[in-house]
Amino acid sequence: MNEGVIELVGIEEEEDCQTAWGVKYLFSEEKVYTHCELDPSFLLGLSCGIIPFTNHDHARRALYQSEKHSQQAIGFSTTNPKIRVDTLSHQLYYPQRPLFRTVISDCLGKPEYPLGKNVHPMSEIYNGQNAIVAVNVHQGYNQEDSLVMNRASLERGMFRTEHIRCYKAEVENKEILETKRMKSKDKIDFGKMPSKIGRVDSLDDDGFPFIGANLQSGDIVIGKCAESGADHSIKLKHTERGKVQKVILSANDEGTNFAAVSLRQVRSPIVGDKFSSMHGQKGVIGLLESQENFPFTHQGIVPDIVINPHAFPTRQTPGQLLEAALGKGIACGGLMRYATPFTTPSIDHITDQLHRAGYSRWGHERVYSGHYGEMMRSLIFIGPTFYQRLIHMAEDKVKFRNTGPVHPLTRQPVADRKRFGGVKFGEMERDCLLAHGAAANLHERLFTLSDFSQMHICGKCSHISNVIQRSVAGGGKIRGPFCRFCDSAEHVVKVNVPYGAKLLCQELFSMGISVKFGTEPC
Amino acid sequence: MEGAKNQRFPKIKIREMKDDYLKFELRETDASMANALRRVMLAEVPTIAIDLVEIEVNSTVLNDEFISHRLGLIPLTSDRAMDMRFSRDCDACDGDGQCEYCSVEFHLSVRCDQDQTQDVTSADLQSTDPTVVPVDVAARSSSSGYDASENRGIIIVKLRRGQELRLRAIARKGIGKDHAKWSPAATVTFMYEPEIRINEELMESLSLEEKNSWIESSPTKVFGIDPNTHQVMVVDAEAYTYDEEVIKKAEAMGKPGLVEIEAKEDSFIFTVESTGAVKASQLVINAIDVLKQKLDAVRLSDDTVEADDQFGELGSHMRGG
Repeated sequence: MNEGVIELVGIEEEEDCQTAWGVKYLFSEEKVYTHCELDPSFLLGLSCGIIPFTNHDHARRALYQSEKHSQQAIGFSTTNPKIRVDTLSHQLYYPQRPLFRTVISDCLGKPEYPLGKNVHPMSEIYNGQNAIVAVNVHQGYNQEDSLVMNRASLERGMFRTEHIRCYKAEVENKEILETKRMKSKDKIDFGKMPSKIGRVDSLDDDGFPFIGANLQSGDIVIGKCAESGADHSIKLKHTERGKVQKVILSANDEGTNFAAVSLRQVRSPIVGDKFSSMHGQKGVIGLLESQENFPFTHQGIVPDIVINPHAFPTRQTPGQLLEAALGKGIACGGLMRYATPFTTPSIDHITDQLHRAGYSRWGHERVYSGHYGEMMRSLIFIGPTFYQRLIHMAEDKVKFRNTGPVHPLTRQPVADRKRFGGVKFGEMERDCLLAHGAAANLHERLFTLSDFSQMHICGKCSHISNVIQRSVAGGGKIRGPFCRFCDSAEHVVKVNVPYGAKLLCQELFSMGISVKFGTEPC
Repeated sequence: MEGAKNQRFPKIKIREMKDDYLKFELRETDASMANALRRVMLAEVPTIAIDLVEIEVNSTVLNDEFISHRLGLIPLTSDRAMDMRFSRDCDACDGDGQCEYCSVEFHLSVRCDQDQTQDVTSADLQSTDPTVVPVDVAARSSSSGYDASENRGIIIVKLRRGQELRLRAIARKGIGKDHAKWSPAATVTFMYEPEIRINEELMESLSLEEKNSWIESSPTKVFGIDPNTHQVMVVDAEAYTYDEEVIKKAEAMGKPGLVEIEAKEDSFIFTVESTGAVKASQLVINAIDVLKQKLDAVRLSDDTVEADDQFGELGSHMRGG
């Protein structure tokens, strides 16, 4: 420090440094410092340092934001999306810069030209948008951390994102084939052929879809076939669909040719999509409401998002409220623009700024009910807040089934979403139906609609009887259930048993344990 | 009319009128009427907007959906919209939106052959119907106090050398309820007219300093002080936003009841701003028309009579007794 240089200190070095928080500590205390922080907020990392008023938030919320949400937020991550072939990438249509600034966000780049026009502004693009957020209940559609969004705002392009998924396929080219001396029969090349596994309508003769083709689930993305006629095409999973963005043909380092086809999908937020503010306040959409149904202020301002007031008391994130109040002041032309952690403007500054702009000091406003046109009894806190769209979207998670594949062993429906599985009806759900006394419903759910099967029981000895082929007295053979224990087919009855239970009996039987079934006619 | 007994005759007084801005008073009616008018203006007054885009060539940086979405949001002059048909109700074209009764076709064809970045704007959209054009283009041609040099048109996309955009777009009639692009209103809001009564006796018990700080407590300039008599008076009652700051301040000063503010339940001050698709004044007139049509639909419906009979006594107030 005495040499007057800015030193970049590593983690190991930090241990041996005596670092002052700021200049004022440097001179006020007797301690001898070796270093001095340029700004106290520099002790935080990037993702934490751009949160406004972090020092007002509960530490856990700041961690949620900086570790999880900042990673999952959709922004505009590259400047060359046209030529990239990531397996999966997301992009926000209209990214915005937050209204507030922090010292660290300024280090990323300023929106305007600094000192003269020689230096280009670094246009660091943020991963969210400034939404007008009201803290209010909205007909119960924002309970439990869900939020209500304005459909009109979404239709105007707010939080609209583009999702690109890329499919790659390799093929062995001629030179390699010659060296390897593979059988020419197995030579695989791109090409179109009538396929049994999926539709090939959108493919051109070279085996690739044309640009702009709308591919649905089950369509073939890349047609590939061996000379023998075997089909090696790549098919879309049943959860995937999109329009063809680009087709790339290239070769990798080993000289194998490969093709990449990108599918694009544009998504506007729908019920179930996840959003988060910068303060670890995540939530999913509970309702898309029309603009006219939202409460409006006397200026006609309508919120984009309505969040529930219950999100605040236990989470302890007053930072978000401060952000909204400060943001409101900035939007009205206030000059207090910084929300740097540890050097935040005092509450008085924020409230005075709002007061000067003609708003109530604490950021709340009188609103009129959109449904009835009457004034709401209480004042509603409303202000611009930076919100991020997270990559967890309802469309990627929908799970439903009427009929579909069953597990080969238990013959019960599978659970996997990728294989069109079902939602588990577990023990607790069973308990619930039991408590309701809904026996028929329970029977249907766990038996008829799950692993219904039938088996044969000998009514006399209660043992399982199998279907076998046996010869009868009159010569000739018949096939039918027969009890080996009683040596007769007389008392054999057919019962309905879950396949799981039948399987258990058979397994036990194979270990030498026989299970007996008491039967009675019904 | 059966309900004539309680019938009221709402009055409208226009305060300020510009092409895209209207401020008026609505009196002698209640919140239900005012709010119905607001809701209709936002969501049910029809306009024309681009609804179907066929892209021929698009080598720009934005994808087809992006451009289509941006095209849809361009406001078009929609004075014709009230007389047009919805393409779904159109007999002439089986609802495919290709005929003159329900649709307007646009063409756009731009190619960049220069080294500078070229903007594709709403001015590049060629309409087949001169009455339906992008709002900013219409404003430029009419040049009604509009600075044309500043108006560069609404940017759709920017092109680099060699990039091209060629498309055909069909604009249709629609309402804001279906999609926000058809909403003709940028802002529609109203407030209740406030009635402010200052308790003069209590007010005089305050010192000048206290009076000033009380006046200052309101974020908007509602009250003022007479420089001669030092009397507090209402400067602009309508600036009051019902934020209750002054009432709280009075309580904090230990003078509750210093001022009483009530909202008049039957007079509203409307502010309407239009996107330019229709004039603000026309927007209000159209909204009243739409509202009338909706009320007619209720009145003429057989279900209404049935429901009235069904509810018997409950519905009697509507029949005037």
